[in-house]
Amino acid sequence: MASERRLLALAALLLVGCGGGTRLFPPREPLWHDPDRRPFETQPEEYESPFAWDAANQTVFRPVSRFFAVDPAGEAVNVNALDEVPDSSWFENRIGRFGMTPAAAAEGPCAKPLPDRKGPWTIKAAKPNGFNPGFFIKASDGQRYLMKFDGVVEGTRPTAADVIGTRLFHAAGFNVPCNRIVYFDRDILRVDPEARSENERGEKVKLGLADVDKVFEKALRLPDGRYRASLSLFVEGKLLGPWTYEGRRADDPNDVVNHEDRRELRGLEVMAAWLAWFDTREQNTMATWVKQGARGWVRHYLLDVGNAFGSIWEPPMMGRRIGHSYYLDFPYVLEDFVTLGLQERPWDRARFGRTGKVFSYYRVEDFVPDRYRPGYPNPAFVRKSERDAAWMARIVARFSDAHLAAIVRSGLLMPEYESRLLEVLRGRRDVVLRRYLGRLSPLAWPEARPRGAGAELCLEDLALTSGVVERRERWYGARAWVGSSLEPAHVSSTHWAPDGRICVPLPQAQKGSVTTPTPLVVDVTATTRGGKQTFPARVQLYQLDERHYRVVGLERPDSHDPPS
Amino acid sequence: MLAALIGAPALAAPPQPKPQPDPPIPSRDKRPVPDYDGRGDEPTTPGDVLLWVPRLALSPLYLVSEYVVRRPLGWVVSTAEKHDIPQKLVDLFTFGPDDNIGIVPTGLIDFGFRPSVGVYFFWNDFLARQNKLRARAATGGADWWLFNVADRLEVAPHQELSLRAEYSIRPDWVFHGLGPESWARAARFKKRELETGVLYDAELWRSSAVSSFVGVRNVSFDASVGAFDDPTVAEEIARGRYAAPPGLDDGYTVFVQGLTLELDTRERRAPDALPDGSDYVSPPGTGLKLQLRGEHAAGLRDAPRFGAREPARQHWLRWGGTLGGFVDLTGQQRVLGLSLVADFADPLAEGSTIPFTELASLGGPRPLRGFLEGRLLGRSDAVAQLDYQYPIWVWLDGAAHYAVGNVFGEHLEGLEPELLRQSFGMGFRSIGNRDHSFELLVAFGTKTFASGAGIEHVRLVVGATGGF
Repeated sequence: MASERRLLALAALLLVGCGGGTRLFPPREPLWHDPDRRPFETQPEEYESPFAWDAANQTVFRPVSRFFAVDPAGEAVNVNALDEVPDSSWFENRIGRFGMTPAAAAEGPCAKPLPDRKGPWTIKAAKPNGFNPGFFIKASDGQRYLMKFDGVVEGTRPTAADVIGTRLFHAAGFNVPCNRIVYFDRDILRVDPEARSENERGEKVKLGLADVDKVFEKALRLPDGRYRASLSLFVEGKLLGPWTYEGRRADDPNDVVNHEDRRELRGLEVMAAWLAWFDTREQNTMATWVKQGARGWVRHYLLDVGNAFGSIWEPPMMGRRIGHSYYLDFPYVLEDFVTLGLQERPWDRARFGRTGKVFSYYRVEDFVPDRYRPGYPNPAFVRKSERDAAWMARIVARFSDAHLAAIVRSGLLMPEYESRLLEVLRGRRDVVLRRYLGRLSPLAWPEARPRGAGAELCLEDLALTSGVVERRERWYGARAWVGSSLEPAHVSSTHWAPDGRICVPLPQAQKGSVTTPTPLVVDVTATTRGGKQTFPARVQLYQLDERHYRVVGLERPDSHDPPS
Repeated sequence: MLAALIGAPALAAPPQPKPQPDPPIPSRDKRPVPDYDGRGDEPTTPGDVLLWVPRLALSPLYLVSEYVVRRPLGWVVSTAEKHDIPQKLVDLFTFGPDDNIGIVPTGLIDFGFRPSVGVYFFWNDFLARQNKLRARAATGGADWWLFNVADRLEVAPHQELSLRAEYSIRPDWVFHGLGPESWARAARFKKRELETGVLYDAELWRSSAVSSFVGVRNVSFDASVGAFDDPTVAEEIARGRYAAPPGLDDGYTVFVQGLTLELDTRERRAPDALPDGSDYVSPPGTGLKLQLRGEHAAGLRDAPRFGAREPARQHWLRWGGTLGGFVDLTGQQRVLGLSLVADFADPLAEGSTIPFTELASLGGPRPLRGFLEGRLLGRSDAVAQLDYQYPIWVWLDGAAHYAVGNVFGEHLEGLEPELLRQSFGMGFRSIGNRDHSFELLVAFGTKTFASGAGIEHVRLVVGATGGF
């Protein structure tokens, strides 16, 4: 008897979850604005990111702890009814939602002109050691900048990556500083008498001419004597230090979604993989306090993309692993140990491209987005779902060749480097799109339009508009269900709209009205000749009258099962 | 508003008008989590319920890993970083204008011996450029000490001259008897050794090398001192297990001269220095190796002779060779090697005996690594070894071996297949600097085939190996 009661209890528990079927979206406008810029009084404390602990924690301790926590990643939290991300202090929809001209993409976040190259520019602090030596300056326009140089090994890649990478991230929707390439004469620089420098031990000491010389030793100099640097405009607001890829900020009342469950941070991995930006640790982020009167709110930035596009590492075998494995990748080490190293790895095959040290191992061959790895595990990336990746891929699909060309030109590279970078950017973009627009539906941006006596639902096929598939190889199918009980309804065949969208006539429910709208669910699938059918884009609408429907939601199920 | 929203295109439209500024919020109150898609919380699924089973089962491990290890350790390390303690520690352990002087802690666990901890000291550009001073001190307890020091000078490119000295005293050395079927049970003895001399190393063509050593070695024993719960050698001798091995009672002091010639057709895995931003790829590890080695020892004091009343100076020669063939299976340093090893120890004076610690030996760093150092002692040894080395990380190679061999009498007298033992194991080792290397090895040594070839010894090594 006791065991029977236990079984019944377990069955009841299980049945609690069995009532689920298709969850209808409410008849409201999808959320496009996440109100997380509500000003509050108390400025959050500055956060100092522990460099070594972050690496050790993310590589060893956090993965072990999370394994024992048995906390599998669900879908991201901040996703609206259209499977998109609302604007917030973290992300603003730009090219993905509204499109962008190549010129606007190339301008990026740089609304203000460059400071006058005649100077004077005053050096406030110097960082002569490390990979990216540079100065903090106050330019003749009164603005503060971080000036960074290329170093002697990698040509103009670092400064170009800083400039190009930030424009790509800006166009995608992230907050980034305004970075630009500048050529200048050393004579315009003045040293502030109070300026400090950082010695090799990380100690702050008075800045001397030797420190200035040390930085310039690593700088690229043109034949005409000018130096090349990237100039990064200080971001708006008071710097609060980095933000983290996990958890929430306790002293920010707006921060209510765990960062590792934010879609824009999870999906960031796809962009990072595309650009081979492996240094996605929290030290390359910045939170700023944006004042609004006596109050303020926190904005979140990405920083320092200068390691993208094939940063060189020593020894060479470590450099070849970048992007393919973590710095210390226990699963790969164990796997290779057990399999006697007989499995050929991408780093066994990696070689410099035709531009040598400039862009080194940044190439299309062996690029598998699913297997991309940053330097060490990122708490948001490891929870990325197929939908998170597909979302970012839909944004990547907006970057046409013209966009890429315009953005890459801002890096002021020599022609052979520019053409190589474009070639790889395009190639890796296409790999990303083929991967992530081929399983879940690439159909997006549903729109209900009156047509004749009725209405039609139209969607954009991003796989088509990005050139991943060709129109002559593509066809579409549709199914529909009407009413709260989701009765199957007949749907006519799809057709092309003049604007390039794929449209399907909507079944007439005959009962919908503004006060009592009738729900409709329409599945549209895309198939490529010789390829497989993608899962449907499941659009939910409400019929308001014979010719007017309202799109309220879009889901991307990972099966062809009808809604229930 | 509804009509305006119906059918409004969401794409390629001009940017929407900026929404109204968000209303203020008290600092202490978190805003509610928005209902992003309007459907409220996801319903609980059967999967969500079932997850609680492993979650509860693993909760003790989670609590320990999260609240006993990760968070406290995170606080400690972060606080230390904040106060720059790692840099201070590095400063404590490194000196000199270019941090060319330093101290590094070391440790070694070789199960079967006492674990040891120590420090390794380095001073680059000691008295001159290319002059490196190295020293190491380690202890495994009150009566277990190791000190060595070497002053190396690069006298020419790829040629190095070293003055070195080493003193060690340990009570945990093992003795099982002599010959191929020595006792499985270890007896322990204490050995004190002092050696000093001059060493010359030169890298030759590809991986070929020559090495020579001239020096003095003084060794003494105490068979009544041991370690762990094992009997001492004196106790085993008293039980009649075996006779006292040569040299045990009196020790020895000898002048030694050694020479090792190695012809190795394999290209070096990596040059000493690579230019910045190199795309260097290690060449394939295929090739042949022939090593010839010899060490001549002449006693500096009299020692008892077998079959003679008068003592005399000891005089012996140890010599041997290794012939190996290596095939890189993929051209990417996955190297399978087959080596044939033979060593001999011959007295050069009539009636002279060779101290047992100078006999041909297997185990430890020598072939048949499944056995402890000194496990197998005889007048000669022969081993055939198959080994496989392969990269598993930038600075780590995996290594596996299988070997058959044993020690025998004079010039392999008594060599028979059924007297062979096996050794097999796997592990990984660091690659790169020979001064500080790391190894983890799990290996097994077996009885002879005649005795059933069962596993006789399991060896686990973790830590820094070798010396310089």
